[in-house]
Amino acid sequence: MRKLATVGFVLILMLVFSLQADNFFNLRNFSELSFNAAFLGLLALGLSFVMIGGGIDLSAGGIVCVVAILCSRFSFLGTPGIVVVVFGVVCGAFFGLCNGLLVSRAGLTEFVTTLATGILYQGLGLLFAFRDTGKLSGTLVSMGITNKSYLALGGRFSALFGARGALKDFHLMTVIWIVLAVAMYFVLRRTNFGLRTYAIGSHPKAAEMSGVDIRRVKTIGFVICGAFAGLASAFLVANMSAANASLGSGYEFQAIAACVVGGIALGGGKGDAVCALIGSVFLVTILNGLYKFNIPTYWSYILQGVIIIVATVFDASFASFARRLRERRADRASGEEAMRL
Amino acid sequence: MTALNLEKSAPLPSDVESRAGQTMLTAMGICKQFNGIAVLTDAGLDVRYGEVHALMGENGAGKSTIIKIITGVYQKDAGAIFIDGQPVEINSRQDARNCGISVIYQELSLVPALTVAENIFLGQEPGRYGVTARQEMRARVRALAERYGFQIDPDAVVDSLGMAQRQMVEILKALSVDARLIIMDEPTSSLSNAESERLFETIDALRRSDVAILYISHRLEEVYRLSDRLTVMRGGEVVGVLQKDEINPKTVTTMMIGREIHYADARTEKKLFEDNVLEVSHLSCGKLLRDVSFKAYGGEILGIGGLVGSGRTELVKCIYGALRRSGGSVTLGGAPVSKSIRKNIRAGFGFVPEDRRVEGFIPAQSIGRNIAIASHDRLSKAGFMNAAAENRWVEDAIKNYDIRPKDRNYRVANLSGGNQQKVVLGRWLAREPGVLLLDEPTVGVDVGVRAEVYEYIRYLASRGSIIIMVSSDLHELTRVPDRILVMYGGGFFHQFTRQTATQTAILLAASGEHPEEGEALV
Amino acid sequence: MKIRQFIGGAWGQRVAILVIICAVMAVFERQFFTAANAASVLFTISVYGTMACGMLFVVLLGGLDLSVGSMAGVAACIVARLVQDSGYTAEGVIGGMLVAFAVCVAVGVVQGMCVTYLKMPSFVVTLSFKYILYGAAPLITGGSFIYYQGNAVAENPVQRFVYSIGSARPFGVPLPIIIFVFFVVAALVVVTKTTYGRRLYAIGGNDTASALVGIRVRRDTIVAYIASSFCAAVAGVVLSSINMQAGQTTGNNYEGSVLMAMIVGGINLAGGEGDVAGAVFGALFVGLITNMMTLLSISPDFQKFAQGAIILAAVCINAYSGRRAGRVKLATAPAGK
Repeated sequence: MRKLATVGFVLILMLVFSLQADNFFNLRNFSELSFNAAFLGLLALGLSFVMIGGGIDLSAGGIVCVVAILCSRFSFLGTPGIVVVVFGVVCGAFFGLCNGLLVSRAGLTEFVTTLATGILYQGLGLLFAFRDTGKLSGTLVSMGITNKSYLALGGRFSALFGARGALKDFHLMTVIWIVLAVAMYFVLRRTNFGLRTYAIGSHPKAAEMSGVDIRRVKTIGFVICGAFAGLASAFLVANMSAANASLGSGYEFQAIAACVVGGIALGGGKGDAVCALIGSVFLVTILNGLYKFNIPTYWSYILQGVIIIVATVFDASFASFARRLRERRADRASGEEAMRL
Repeated sequence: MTALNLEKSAPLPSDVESRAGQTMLTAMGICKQFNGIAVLTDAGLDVRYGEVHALMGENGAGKSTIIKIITGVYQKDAGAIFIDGQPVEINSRQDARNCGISVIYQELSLVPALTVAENIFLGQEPGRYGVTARQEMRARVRALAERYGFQIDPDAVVDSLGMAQRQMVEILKALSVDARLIIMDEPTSSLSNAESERLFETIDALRRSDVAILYISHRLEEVYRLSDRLTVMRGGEVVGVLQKDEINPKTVTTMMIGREIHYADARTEKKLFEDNVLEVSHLSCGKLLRDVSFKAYGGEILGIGGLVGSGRTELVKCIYGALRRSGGSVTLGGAPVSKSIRKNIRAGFGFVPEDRRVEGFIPAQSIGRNIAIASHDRLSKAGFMNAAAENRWVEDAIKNYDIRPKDRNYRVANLSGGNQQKVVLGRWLAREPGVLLLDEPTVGVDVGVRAEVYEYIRYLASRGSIIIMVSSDLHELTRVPDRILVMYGGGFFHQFTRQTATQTAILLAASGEHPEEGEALV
Repeated sequence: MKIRQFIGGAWGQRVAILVIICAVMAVFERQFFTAANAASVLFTISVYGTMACGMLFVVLLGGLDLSVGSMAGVAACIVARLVQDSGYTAEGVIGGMLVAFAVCVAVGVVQGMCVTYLKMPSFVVTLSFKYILYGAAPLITGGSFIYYQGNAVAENPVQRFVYSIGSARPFGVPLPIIIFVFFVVAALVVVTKTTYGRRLYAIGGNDTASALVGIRVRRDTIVAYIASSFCAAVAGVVLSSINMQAGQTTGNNYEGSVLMAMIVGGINLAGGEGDVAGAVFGALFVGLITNMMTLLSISPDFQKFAQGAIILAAVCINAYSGRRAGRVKLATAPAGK
């Protein structure tokens, strides 16, 4: 229901944009749109694990930043592109692990901790960015990537495998994103870990009484979140063929907005990977549309903030409406039963 | 159509020989002390396969302690436990589970977002490589349900189920780990009548399948309806085991109460202040409180009895304004009582809640702040606190109500339970409220403090205040109030005066049986 | 004995930390003890400190206001725009400030209502508003920075007024410091002397119990968000007047520093514990650290790293000492049933 509503909204938006802006409905724009959606989508996908588990992670932007720098430096060693990407994922997972351990083992508040680590990781990215100066000062330089096989991974399909069919204009990351979204849907819905993630998000006490190790599930959630941010960052750098340390700020907010719009509730226990996917498409479509209408970018900030609040209000009122409906139905049922008895 | 249904003709498990009547669990000579205070002295139980064994006793009789020992939450100091005739040591919940003992918790332990099958197997999901074998899970739930005669949709989301159905899921969850003894602690306290009836059918089905059931309840009628045998506890001991044909209300309540204690310290003369009158008429609050009317006068201590869920807490909260009234009216001295707590406090109301830790005090704050918090209207001018007045006010309260340590800057979190209660009580007593509403004012408070609390209450009443006191402590109810109203099913059921009230009679009335003493209201 | 207690206590540690920072600076950087630098440090402290005084209210309730930076930016932009549009008249200056404060108070009301009536987590609401306000700033300025025309200062007294918030020195003390001190005193009075202050602590410590003693929790919560927004607005006007400019990035990301001040000042983010002195200490600390890193020519971007590390360390220390206090509490509390 909720998903269909969002998808419907996306389609209406696309229709409106296509009719109103002449440069919206074309393959080039869709390829660009899908790339942006994929980047945000990967972040949201990782974040969905934390959010379904009842948590929040504000460090995604920081992880994107530091992994971008690490990947670009790593690529100078001349390693194959795929190794760089794997390296990025591992780095991201490591930073996620740090978050997870701080939150679950040291017992710190999640949003303050990840807010701090987010700033910390961004700073760490800067630290790695100053290559040879040896001094913690000076201005930042973008590092141009020269590693060919790495750069190819950020490009379109046609660049990788030659021109082939309808997919050729889309990016590798887009395809990977969709594959992973489907995979994560199954991880969340069909594995023991997924089950336990929902359990700790929906009713942690009951989960604990059933023998679920909450701290472990939480930590793994953060690791997955970090790994996805790392993956997204590795592809982004390859696509932009340069990394700089100002990358990544604000992405954590976009990712949260995407999840919330898609229907992953802030309290936890609701939504799934498809929600994250739809939410990212929604957000990116709107941002893209604004861009096509030549609406100044600052509107996008306003819109994102408003979207989070509106989506939360909508979900809350919808949930209370559904509950009332259910109670009324239960009342009627028990009333009938009482009459029979 | 509901997700869970019961088939009347449950097939007995054919592969197992019937063990009905054999003893499942025997506990004997169980002793337990907390901080040198004996809670259990020589308690024992024996529960057989295929029987519903009821366990009854007043609050503090030691029921929950013995259950916690059997389920491994507490360790016993002395005594022995046998399962199927073999001696066992139960040192943890896991041990209890391994012995086939499961508890259905009062506060349900199900995850609302998951399905029935997922909930049943959460924490021990079947499947390889971490992939949940959902088909197997469903099949096992179906098999289990069939074996015990439930009809069940394993894919129903728990959030969409009613309370009775959730309890059935809990039972299935227990059965899924081969529970042979299921302990139910007040399972009907949050159920409607129709839902309770469903639960009883479930219990009947379990009994037919040779599961042993230990059933703890305060509700006599349920116990008569369900149980095959009944153990009564009082003061940490077992006072008797009744067979089915021996169970009747009079015997059970008499055994639970033991010797009636009559209190000599009771106030004999009382003066009513007719101008201070609280009149409640046709007060309702959703389904919890139905059409309640009464009058209380200044100088009177009114006791409200009844079981948990009978509407007694809702009654005082509704009067105070902490719960929204859905109908009826309340007046104090002729003037309507507001729905705003703030205005009511100014009009002379005070309220001591049941759970002082959650609703009463502010743990991180000092004694002084906790006492003054309800009296800002008297201790401030134009929004500014009058520090001198505040300190005097607090020091007086600490002295008058003997709060220890006598340090107004001491954190309330670090006080003993009795002193914490005195802080919450003192907050109101200092104001000399015209109406003081007390919900279980002496729960978790030691004997000495209890006597002090009664003294303060009586003093306040003698000065013309109306005291309304909710309590489950039968001794307290017969000892302190001038008049006792017993609630049952959201309304008043029976009324006693100080002279007619006995503990047995109150207990009977709270369980929905009109005793000979007092006056029936329904 | 007294001295040992002082050094061992929270205040001793706080003063010691500040002294150590100053000592380190004295050794490594001669510029630190110059008058110009002192003014710069004090300006930074007063901007952060003013914001911290307001955010303290929200944090005492157990909330968090991540929108203070953007709020300051918006207030600065509104004042700058109206002052400029009015051609630097007195009406423009006064009207600009009134409009700016009114807008920020209104936003505070909306934030408070989101938290109380919609029961949204505080940080989500304020984070959303951080971006909404950040996006709104260019709407006000028309997309670019507005610069106060400093070269005409001497001729136009009204113009001088705008300029003078940052540079006037009544009695030899820079005006931003006076404003900061004013807000510290105001916050101190509200928190310690008024019933509202008592209620703040009560709600932060136990909101259920507070409601049952007749405290209007929702109303008081909304007021706290108003206070936070208002202080942020004042800080924003001061900031823009110090820098003689206002734009989208005015005050951007200041909430990180203010949050750091809160945490370093020992204010419990769960609510109910903390005081104005802690917030002031936090602001002093943040101001000094920022200045230290600037003087040591550490890149402003890299300062982020330090900021994150300090917040994290302080959170860990607070949690650790809180847990130790909790353990003591458990040990001394008489065992119940």
